[in-house]
Amino acid sequence: MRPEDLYSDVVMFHYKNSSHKGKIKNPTAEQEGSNLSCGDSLHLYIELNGDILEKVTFDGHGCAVSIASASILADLVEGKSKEEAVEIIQEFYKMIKGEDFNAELLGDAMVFENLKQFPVRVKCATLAWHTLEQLLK
Amino acid sequence: MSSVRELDEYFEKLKTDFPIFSERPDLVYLDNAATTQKPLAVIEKLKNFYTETNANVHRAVYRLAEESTMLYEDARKTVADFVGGKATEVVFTKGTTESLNMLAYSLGLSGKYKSFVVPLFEHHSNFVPWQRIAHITGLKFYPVKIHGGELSLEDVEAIVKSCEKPFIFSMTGLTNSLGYRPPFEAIVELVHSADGLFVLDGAQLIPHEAFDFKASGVDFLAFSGHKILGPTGIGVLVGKKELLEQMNPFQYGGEMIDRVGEQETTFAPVPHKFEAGTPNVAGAVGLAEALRYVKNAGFEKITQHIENLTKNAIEKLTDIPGLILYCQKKCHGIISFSHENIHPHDLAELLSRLSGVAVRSGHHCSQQQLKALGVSSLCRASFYLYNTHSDIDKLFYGIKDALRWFS
Repeated sequence: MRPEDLYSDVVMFHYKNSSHKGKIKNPTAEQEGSNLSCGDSLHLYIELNGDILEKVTFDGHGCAVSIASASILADLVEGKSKEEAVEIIQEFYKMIKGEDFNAELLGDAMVFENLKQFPVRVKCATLAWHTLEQLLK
Repeated sequence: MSSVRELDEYFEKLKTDFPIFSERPDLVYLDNAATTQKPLAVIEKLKNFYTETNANVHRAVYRLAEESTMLYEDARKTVADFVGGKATEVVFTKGTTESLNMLAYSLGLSGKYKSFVVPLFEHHSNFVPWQRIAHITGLKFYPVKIHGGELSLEDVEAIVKSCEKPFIFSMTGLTNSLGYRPPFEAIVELVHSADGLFVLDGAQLIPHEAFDFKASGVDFLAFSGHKILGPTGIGVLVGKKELLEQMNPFQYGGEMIDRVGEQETTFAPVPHKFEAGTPNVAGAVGLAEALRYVKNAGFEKITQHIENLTKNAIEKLTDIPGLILYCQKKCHGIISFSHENIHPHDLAELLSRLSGVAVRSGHHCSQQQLKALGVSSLCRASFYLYNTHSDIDKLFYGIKDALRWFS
């Protein structure tokens, strides 16, 4: 369990350089998510074009893991339909739980495959995903 | 008084009494406000109790049960002596949380009190029970506002003056988030002169400085065993005898009864009427051993050593650019901090992975306190007797190493 396993280059890149940070002026929908136990909170904004998630952004505050995970999620679901986004989220949950999952759908999110070595950080990595799932319901 | 170095050497030797540090030689344990490590004497005491003396207490007449009962009641005496109370004033509980819930329920449901007053910097265990019981019973609940992490006596005076009476004022002796020691001695007097009772949450205070229940004048004192080298699952409520006698039990069941009729039951005398069910006998015996250990180590030395460690840590950490220390005028054994470039969780994670340093990160079970500081999360280093000045160095260099990852 080296720090590199958690703070990989991919995670640090998304944490520092996310292109999805900020508000959308007139979002089609938005959703607040929080991990009360650690005080992190995230606000997610989406712009829909028909059924397609045209734009996904977030703001709020959280640790590197939760911010990077939000950025990776936004990358993955932008340009996808709502249904496809829900499928990606479900595959992510399966990976986190250590179940079989479809790796082709997860791209950079694969950096969290070994998150079970850091059990208390699971809620950091899943915050954005739970928030988007809530928003798409 | 011994020099800083003499004390450091003295406690470095005592550190060998704690097996976890030989099991994990790289561990720099700085989360003592959450729980403390256990000396071998306490671990052995628990083992010996179960291998040699285990039986239920206050029931059977056979020899083993007698011995077990004696050990349990001796433990009560040891606790009473340690905090300057009488054995009949000491109730064993699961911990501070249960002690405070017991008070909130019993006093709140008694119909004798009209309101509860609680500062906003309290740990949730000394905030939520009063808030909830007030809500359930319709009593008034007055949170006392805080300034940063401190209380102003003027605010306390104003609330004490205007609140509905009689009332209960419940406050910590040392805040778990910032290590701030409020002037509780002065507040006890204020509360008493205004028809109130004073409850002291001693979870952090009792491990840190010598305390005398009788001399302090407080009406109730709650603390936990595990924060003062004892086992988890054992804690204490100390209460003035006449007050405990007036109170109704919090839980009902075995051991706490006197006579059980078809419709009515009378209760055992204090303290047993507050100890329904089989108590944590081993825990009580282990706690007594822990208190003996602390006493033998020397409480004055412990207090001085922790003050030395705190001062050293503040000086070193102040030198780290961008690091924010949330110390009030003086912090006692507890230092909360954050850094502008790194989230507290990431800092705590890297301190652990890179340097073996264990610090807490989060809201420290005190959301209203963090709100008053305008932050949602902090790192906290908290010291106890086995920490040494080399641990402070490791914290200092550990923070610097962690920051490099996020530069």
